[in-house]
Amino acid sequence: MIIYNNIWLANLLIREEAQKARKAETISIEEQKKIEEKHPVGFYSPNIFIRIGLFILTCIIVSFSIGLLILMVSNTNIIDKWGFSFFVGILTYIALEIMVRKSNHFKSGVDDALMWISGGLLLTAFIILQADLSSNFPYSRISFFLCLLALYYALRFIDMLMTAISLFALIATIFFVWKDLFSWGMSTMPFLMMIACSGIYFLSKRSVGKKATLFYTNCLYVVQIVSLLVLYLAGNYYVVQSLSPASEGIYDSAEPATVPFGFFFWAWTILIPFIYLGLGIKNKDVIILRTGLILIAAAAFTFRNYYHLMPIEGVLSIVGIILLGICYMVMKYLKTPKHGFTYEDLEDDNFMDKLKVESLIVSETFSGTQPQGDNTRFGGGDFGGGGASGNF
Amino acid sequence: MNIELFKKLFEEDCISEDSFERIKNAPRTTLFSLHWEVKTLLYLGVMLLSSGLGILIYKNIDTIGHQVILLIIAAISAGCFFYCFKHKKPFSKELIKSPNSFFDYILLLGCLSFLSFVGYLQFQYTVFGTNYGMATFIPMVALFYIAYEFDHLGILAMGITNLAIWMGVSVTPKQLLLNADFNSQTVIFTYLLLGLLLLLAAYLTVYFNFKKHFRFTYQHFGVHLSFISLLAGYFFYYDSGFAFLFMAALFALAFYIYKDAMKHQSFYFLLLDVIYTYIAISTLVVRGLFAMKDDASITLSFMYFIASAIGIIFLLINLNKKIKAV
Repeated sequence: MIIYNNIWLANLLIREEAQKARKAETISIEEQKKIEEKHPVGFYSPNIFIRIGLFILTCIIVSFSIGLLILMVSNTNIIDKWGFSFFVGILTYIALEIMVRKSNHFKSGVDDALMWISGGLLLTAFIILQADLSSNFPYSRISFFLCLLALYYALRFIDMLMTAISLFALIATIFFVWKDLFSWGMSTMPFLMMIACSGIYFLSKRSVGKKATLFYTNCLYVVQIVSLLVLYLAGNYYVVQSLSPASEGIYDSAEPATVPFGFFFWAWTILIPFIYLGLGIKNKDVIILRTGLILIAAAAFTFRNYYHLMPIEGVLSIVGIILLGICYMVMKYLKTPKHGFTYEDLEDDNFMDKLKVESLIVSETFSGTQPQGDNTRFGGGDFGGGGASGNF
Repeated sequence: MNIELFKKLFEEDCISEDSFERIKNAPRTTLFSLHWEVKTLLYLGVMLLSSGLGILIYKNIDTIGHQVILLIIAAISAGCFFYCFKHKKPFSKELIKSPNSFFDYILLLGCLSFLSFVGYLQFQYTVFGTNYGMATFIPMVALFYIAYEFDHLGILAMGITNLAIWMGVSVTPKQLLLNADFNSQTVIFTYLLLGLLLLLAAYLTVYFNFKKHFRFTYQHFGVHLSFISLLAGYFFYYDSGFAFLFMAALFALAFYIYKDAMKHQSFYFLLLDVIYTYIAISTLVVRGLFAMKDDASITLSFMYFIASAIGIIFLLINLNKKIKAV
């Protein structure tokens, strides 16, 4: 199923382990070199900058090629037919297969671009086809198709984002099917979602580290993150209320509809993030820990949406002070590592440091404090993306 | 660590017996780092606190409470700086590792509250009168001083942004502040000057070996600013022959950046260089093609983009190899 050379993929993992071992100073550099010599990897996977460049350029090539094709057939009424998108999508996919098989591109930017473009075109073709067939927009069929399509790409090209899309589409499919299947579908939706997501989570959790899923470890992490997030959202009071049948047709938020089992959903909204956090710390599981951190913010927003205890600026200031206080205490507490936790950064040369991302983010978000001047020019992220097409 | 794997590697004679023993005896549980979690929380804390205080002043302007708030902000700023001066390490020309991330973000909070303090003073009491240049100059100098004194890249970047505001303000103060539309010609030249200045600063930091690691930040802003102003200049003078002067300058700059990126083995600047140069060349080619006033010019320009992008891909791949070999 995987398009890549399995031996090279395995060798990549071996090299990673060797790198870790050298960082821990259990093996020497010569030994690491020897391991790398004996375990060759023939993939072309350049660094992130070249990858971004290749991605942009491939997008340019494909879009202008499609443009040229459209110019050639512009006299016929073929362009808005589903067959055209399908045809171009298949062509791009063939190009992708050739690039990966013949030139051994592996996460090089070229394959990323081709993958997204061909996937998008195939999906467009399917949507046009479905829209032709019936006047009702068939959400469930489209999300199911998207689920299968993304799953195919995820399995074949080991892509993390495609995995996430596939899982989201799967959840959407369950949602749409269940909604239309029974008249009481919407009222039981939160519970169905909770069951489905916790099932997916435990399944992916158990599959990590198995031999069959060896190359999909990162994809499985993505599955865990997505299922944890949706598991929380399924019981979040705000989400439940806006989707509940009682609030159908009510758009006036001043008088929100009441939700049955409201207490249960409030408890879920507030407690689940902390349960995640606790589990993350207890099991030293980065994924559930970070998800918990994000969801605490979500819980706070939900709460504020219903109860206004004080004006927004007061909340911002107080939360800011509390966060700084927590950080100070954590750092003080972990000055010497305790219970297997440390504050020190264990990976010394990661990508973020190389690009000095932190300083750029700081300047991006904070330099607007002075009202004067025009600093729109200082977009640090101006990679000139797609700029070439705007030159006319 | 994966014992099975290293056993296999040992049997393949990749690692020595000593190393294998060390791996077997290595502690089972590795430390769990909370570094990035804490850092993100610190960032959020500073962001929330400073924006909360900002809104607080804004809403309470003209009320009795605003002087109290002003005092609070001044106190926060002073407190932060006091903490930082107390915990700082002695100044050095080289990279100083900050004591910890908390220090970094407290310094940032101090700077932000200082900026809102000065901005508030100017707004409410017009301390600097209508001398807007002065009102932006003082925070800028302060930011640069703090960035160098405490070795803080984020504040350096804020200082650079403030430098740009100051330059923009001192060139066309009234237009910039009163009307949103300013004279683009002056702005283009100002920002071009600024960009080149920053590139010079990047060069000088390495030349004098003074805070060498600041080079990236200077170069980053310098490259974007200079290339964008040169392109903007080209389009501004599109119909006059003066435009080609901008193009010539752009290619000269691109050559310099190329040499510089090769010297410092920087993939990032190499990529920026290639992309900006590609945009410049493409504008020229498209202009040439459309000057023919032929029906074929659209088709030809499409073909140009396909062919040139393929070419650039090979160029990037080759440059990548070359830069690694340097």
